[in-house]
Amino acid sequence: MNILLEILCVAAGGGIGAYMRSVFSAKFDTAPLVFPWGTFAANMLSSFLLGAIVSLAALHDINKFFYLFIDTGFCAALSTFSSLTWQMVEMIRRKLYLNATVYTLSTFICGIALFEASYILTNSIFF
Amino acid sequence: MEYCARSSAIAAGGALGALLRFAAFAAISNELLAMLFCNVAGSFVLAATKEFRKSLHPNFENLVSAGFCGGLSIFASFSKYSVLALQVGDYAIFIFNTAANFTFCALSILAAEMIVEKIRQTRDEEWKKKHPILAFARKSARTLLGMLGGQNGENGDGQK
Repeated sequence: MNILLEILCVAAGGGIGAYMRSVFSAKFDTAPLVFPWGTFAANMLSSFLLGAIVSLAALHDINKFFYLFIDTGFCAALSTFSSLTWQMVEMIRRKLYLNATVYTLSTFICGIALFEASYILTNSIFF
Repeated sequence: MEYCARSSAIAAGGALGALLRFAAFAAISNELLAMLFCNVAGSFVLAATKEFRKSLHPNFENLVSAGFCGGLSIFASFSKYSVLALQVGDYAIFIFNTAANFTFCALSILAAEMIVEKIRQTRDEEWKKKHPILAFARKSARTLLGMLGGQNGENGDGQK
């Protein structure tokens, strides 16, 4: 029964996260080879949320199913590494080297920075 | 109605991708390797889907590319493991994790495109005569794609 509930939580979170990412993409990826703002925003939001959740889980006992829903399901499906890499390769293929560099570096650095920032913020609020 | 169908396809794909990722993390004891596997697999499938785009029903393409691949691959955890490695001062793991994910994902995209190009070559009549079994396998796969609602049916193929 437990495993079924875990599967349900992951699937539900995954479905919602993927849908939200598609909304971001549809709204903001208007010039995907210039800078895919939709994918960038989805990755940043998920990194920020995950930082908060990981911090909360370290400080308090979070319900396992809620954690699976948010972490393994929602945040993970909201973010995407495959689209990031595909967009990077497309930019390089079309010789948009500056775009590729800016996009990849900004996603990498801002993702890490936002995770750390939300981790520290959540720590300071709830500790 | 079309928007509902598209959204449902993406959500269903996302759920499947998330479940496969969940299973991968359960099966592979090393979390970094599990994440690398998911990212590489997601990138490979995404690139292959993009190449076959014109042969696929739009909702099926959305289910796989926007839904499944996005649900399978994961950037948020990549940020998490990068930060955790930096917090404990494990710079080697940080550099290896970053380099491995970007490099192998890019290589898997190129590999997927090369494989699709090889599959396209199987349209050549001479090739069909030389490889009758593979030609039959390809024809069966195209029939299956047609049953899934491919736009161009037997004549379609992913084109750049």
